[in-house]
This record gives sequence, C-alpha cells and structure tokens, in this order.
Amino acid sequence: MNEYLRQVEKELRLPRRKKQEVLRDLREIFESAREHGESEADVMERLGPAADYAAAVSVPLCGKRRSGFALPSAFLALAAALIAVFLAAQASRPADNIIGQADAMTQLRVVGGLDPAPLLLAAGVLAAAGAAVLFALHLRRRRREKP
Amino acid sequence: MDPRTVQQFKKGSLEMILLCLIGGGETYGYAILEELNRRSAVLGWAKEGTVYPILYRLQGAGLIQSRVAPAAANGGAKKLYSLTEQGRETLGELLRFWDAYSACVEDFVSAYREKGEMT
Repeated sequence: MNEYLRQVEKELRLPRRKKQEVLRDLREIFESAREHGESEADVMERLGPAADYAAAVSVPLCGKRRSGFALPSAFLALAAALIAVFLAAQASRPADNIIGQADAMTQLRVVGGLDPAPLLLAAGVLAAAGAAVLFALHLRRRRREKP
Repeated sequence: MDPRTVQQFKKGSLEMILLCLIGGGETYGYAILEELNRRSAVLGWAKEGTVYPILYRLQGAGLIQSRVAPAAANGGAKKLYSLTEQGRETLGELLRFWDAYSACVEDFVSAYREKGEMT
C-alpha cells in the first residue's frame, strides 16, 4: 500500500494541499476495504496502475484553479494608475520660471514640504516590479506543474 | 452491447446517481461503492477510480461538502459527504430535467415498439 501511495504521490501534479487530500482518501480506501475483508492486492487491482489513478483524480482537482493571472494583473493596473497620476501631476505643474512672463498668470508655488509626486512615481515603479515578480512566479509554477 | 455505449450512459448518469445517494444522508466512500454495486448491477462494478474523480468534481463545484470524522471502530477516520444547499438545488433541477428527458426518450422508444409490433 505504501509503495502504491508513493507512486501516486509521484505522479500527481497538484498543489500540495490537494495532493495530501488525494493521499488521505487513498489511505481511507485501503483501510475501509481491509475492514470489509479485502486484501491490499484486491484494492490495488481495482484501482489500477498508480499513474492511471493519479491521472483520473487530477483532472477534476486541477480544473477549477484560479487563472493565477489575477493578482499580477491587479498589480500592473495599480502601477499604471500611479504612474498616470504622476504624469498628470507633472503636466499640470506650472513652469519653474513662470513669474515675470507677461503672457502668463503669475503663480507662486510654495517649494518645500512633502511633494507627493516622486512618491507616486516610486509607488508606481514598485507596483510594476511586484507585477513582474508575480508574473514570473506564476509562469514558473505553471511550467513545474505541467505533466 | 458495446461496452462503450454502457460507458456513455454511465458517464452521463453517475453524477446524478451520486448526488441522489449523498442526498439520502451523510455517507462515505466505501459505503457509496457498496451501494452502487448492490443496486446498479446493470452499470457494471463501480470502482474508486471512477467514483472519486466525480466526488472531487462535485465538491469543487460546491455541490457536496465533506467532513472527516473519526471511525468508531479502530481510530481511523472517514470522510463523510453531504449535499450543500447549492447541491440540493442543483439536484432538484437535474431531476426535473431527468423526468422530462426520460419521458422524451420513452416516447421514442414506445413509438418504435408500437411500429415494430405492427410490421
């Protein structure tokens, strides 16, 4: 039985928690059959080759997975929004030498204090980097789980 | 009869049969197999490799739920399955469809039989 379980475990391409669930259920299958007077060989014959059993249970268990692109996409959207706000702030900013020019309204800009614009840019760049890392992790996981 | 034909019928109906069985009261894997084998000889012997993937699919779809309870006898544990509210609603819809579907099939079958008897 343990060898059969090991083989199934080796064949399963599932997240760890689902793998554990399949193995738990298999232990119960063997245990229940034993209670009803069946031998391990009987059960293994009914289950068929470990690879076949693993393939059969993998289909419904990996079918309903999140696409995995949701979180990285959200980060990317946040990055785009932050950078857009930064660019908009830059565009509406009066030119530094505006005072003294006759054709423009005189404005005074108080320099000093905390200017939020660079912070927006930094947050945007961080979010973009986060999105890139999450995309990379997701792609690596998909490659690894592919049978 | 071609085993593939039986396979097709089985594939379509086993989900509903399992929902009916589980809807009848909390039950566990081996008991489900025994019940299937006792009552549905015409469908052939039920195997874990057929039943568990369907259980996983039904649970993934939120139609059944499970809890692991310690077995009275030997300290082992059994996973007990029951219908969720959504499962009960879906089974109701499935059964309504099944009634209409089987009546429709029966209509064709009896028309064929009547004709067959005449010729």
